[in-house]
Amino acid sequence: MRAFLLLLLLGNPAVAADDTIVIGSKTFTESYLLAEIMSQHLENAGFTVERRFGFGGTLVCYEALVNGEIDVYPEYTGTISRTILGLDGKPDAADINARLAGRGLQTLSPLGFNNTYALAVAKPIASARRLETISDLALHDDLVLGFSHEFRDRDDGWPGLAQAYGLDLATRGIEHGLAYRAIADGSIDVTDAYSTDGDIERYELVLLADDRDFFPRYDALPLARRGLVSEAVKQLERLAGRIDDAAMRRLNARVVVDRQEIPTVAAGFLRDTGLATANPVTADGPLQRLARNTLRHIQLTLTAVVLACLVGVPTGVLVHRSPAASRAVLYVAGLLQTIPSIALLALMIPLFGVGVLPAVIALFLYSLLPILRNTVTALNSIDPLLRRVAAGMGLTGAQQVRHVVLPLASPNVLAGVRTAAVISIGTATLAAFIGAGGLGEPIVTGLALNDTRLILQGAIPAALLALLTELLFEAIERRLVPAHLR
Amino acid sequence: MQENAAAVSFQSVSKVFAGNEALRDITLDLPRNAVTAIVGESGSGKSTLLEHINGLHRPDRGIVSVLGEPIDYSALTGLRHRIGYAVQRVGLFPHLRAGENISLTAQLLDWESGQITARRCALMRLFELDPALADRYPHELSGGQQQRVGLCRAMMLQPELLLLDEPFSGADPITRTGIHREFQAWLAHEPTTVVLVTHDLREARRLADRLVIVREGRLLQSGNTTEVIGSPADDYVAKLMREHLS
Repeated sequence: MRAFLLLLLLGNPAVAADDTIVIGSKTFTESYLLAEIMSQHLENAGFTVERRFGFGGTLVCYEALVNGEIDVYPEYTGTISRTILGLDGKPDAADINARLAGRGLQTLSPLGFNNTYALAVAKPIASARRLETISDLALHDDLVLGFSHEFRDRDDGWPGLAQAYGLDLATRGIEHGLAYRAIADGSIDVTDAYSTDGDIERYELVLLADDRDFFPRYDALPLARRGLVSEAVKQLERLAGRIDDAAMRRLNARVVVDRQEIPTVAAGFLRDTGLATANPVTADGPLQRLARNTLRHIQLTLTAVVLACLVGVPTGVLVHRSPAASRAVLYVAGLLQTIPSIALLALMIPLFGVGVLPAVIALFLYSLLPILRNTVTALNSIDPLLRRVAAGMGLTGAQQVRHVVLPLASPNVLAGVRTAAVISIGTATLAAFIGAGGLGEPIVTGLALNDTRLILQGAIPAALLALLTELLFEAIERRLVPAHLR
Repeated sequence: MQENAAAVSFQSVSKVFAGNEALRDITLDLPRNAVTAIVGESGSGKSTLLEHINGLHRPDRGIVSVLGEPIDYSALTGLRHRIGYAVQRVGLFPHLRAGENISLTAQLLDWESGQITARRCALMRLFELDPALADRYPHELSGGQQQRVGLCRAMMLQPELLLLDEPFSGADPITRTGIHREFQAWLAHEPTTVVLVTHDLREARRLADRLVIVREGRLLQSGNTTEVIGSPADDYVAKLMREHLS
């Protein structure tokens, strides 16, 4: 049993061997794509790569990098200076790198494109009016400008832009998801866009050049730990300048418009640019991925529930005799339960970083309440006469617990463990947001890419796992508990 | 060491539960190898008195000595292995089969399994329990069978002292008579000091050598059964005898 636990805790595939490069990504198409390109490129060069994609947000990704959970992930210069370093204005690359060095990080050379805000116009209108730059807009005050609500409000959006260019034009607010369609059907002429958005290709839009250099630059580049082996750095530097805005838009469009798989698109890119000669090393097949995710999921929940049993049952035994202590313990466990799971996971990051450890701790905290409550209830519902007789017969305290109290409490305790296990299997799908992997990984990716098939690849096995767990516990109950006590 | 001292001796024992005086200054000796019945109405303190003998309660004042020595409350387990204990609602462990209920303590004391089986079978035979019943769970037994299993469990370790808290009540009169007979046969076979708590004077007269009458936590009278019946110490005892024995 102890060896088994040790295996669970230490046999953690996240702690990869030294020569493995761990690559992360955030949860949007471009980030997945760049991370996959970096992964395949390194694999082609002979490295072993572990993909830990889909960290829920910049700070989670950054935290993972600082803690050495990942070695490198694609980031943007504007995000590094504003979100990570908290700098205003336009700090230069040397300044940024000096600050990152203090945190054990480094930026590699930019990949060649700038994913920033841009203004998009339908191609026919652009050519009819000869629109090429944002300054050109001043001459066409009859155009309908429809901007997303955020862009209309942000200082670095329309208000700042209008001031910088001296534009005095009326604007309309429009939901970002609807803006492209509105341009397509002619109800608006100009909207805000991200410069590498795949939909720009799809709707045949033209981006107006930022000729006064107003928008901050969001140049994509690999953000890496300084400890990343120099050979890998050398290989990643070969990607420098290889992807311009148009190329990135096309790559994104292949995923969101043509619905091609990300690894396929990445491999195509490497082949087309001559970075990969032979057929690329294929990434895990779907079955391998399923097996890996399922195993990780089981590892997360099993470790958490076993730990919760080891803590919850003895605690229940200790406190159940005292109503005050029981109330206090159940209150604390209940309080933990009320924290929304995604918030609890987020709370774990500053304390335990990202990855398996904080996920297991969060799941453990969630499992405590059902186990504790059922243990306390089970113990208190034992007929006091049985305890008196057991004591009167000369059973020691430990013998009373072992031979009378626990067996009688076991059906109820088991029911609590069962509840905890099923809840954990469900909650563990959220663990992917903090990079713990598991069946939540395809769900998170699927959500980011709006890919139902991918979501189901995580959701269905997770549901089956919960069902199997129910069946397993029924079987255990049949074995351990005599029929009349169930 | 007083080898011939009383099996149980109460010296000025008092006990209060939540402001309620359960035992008031009881001084009493119970002789060895005799059956003593403690008789009283509900709430008279007779069960409390019994539960002071195996240390389930500790007196507020006074001393309880058992099997020749004052009770050492830090070493109750050893003492309790020398004392059998059976109660009215029997309290068989529902998750253990009848046979397991009977042999649990012997198993915990590491008796050899042959010895355990022999002892259990002998007791079950004495109480006219079919050996096949050993494999049944308590809820699969009749009320009378449960009470018999409870007695066998109390007698398993061949106790020097047997405490019985109304173990025969609840059974129908025919079953009860049967159990009485079997109990007496066992007693003839293994002479033991027995303390029996009962509210049934007829049962006490039938089984006990000595009677102890308690009321509201006070000892009213104790002595040989015939003596107490023949010459009640006060009006209450006389009334008790008249109402229940005539």
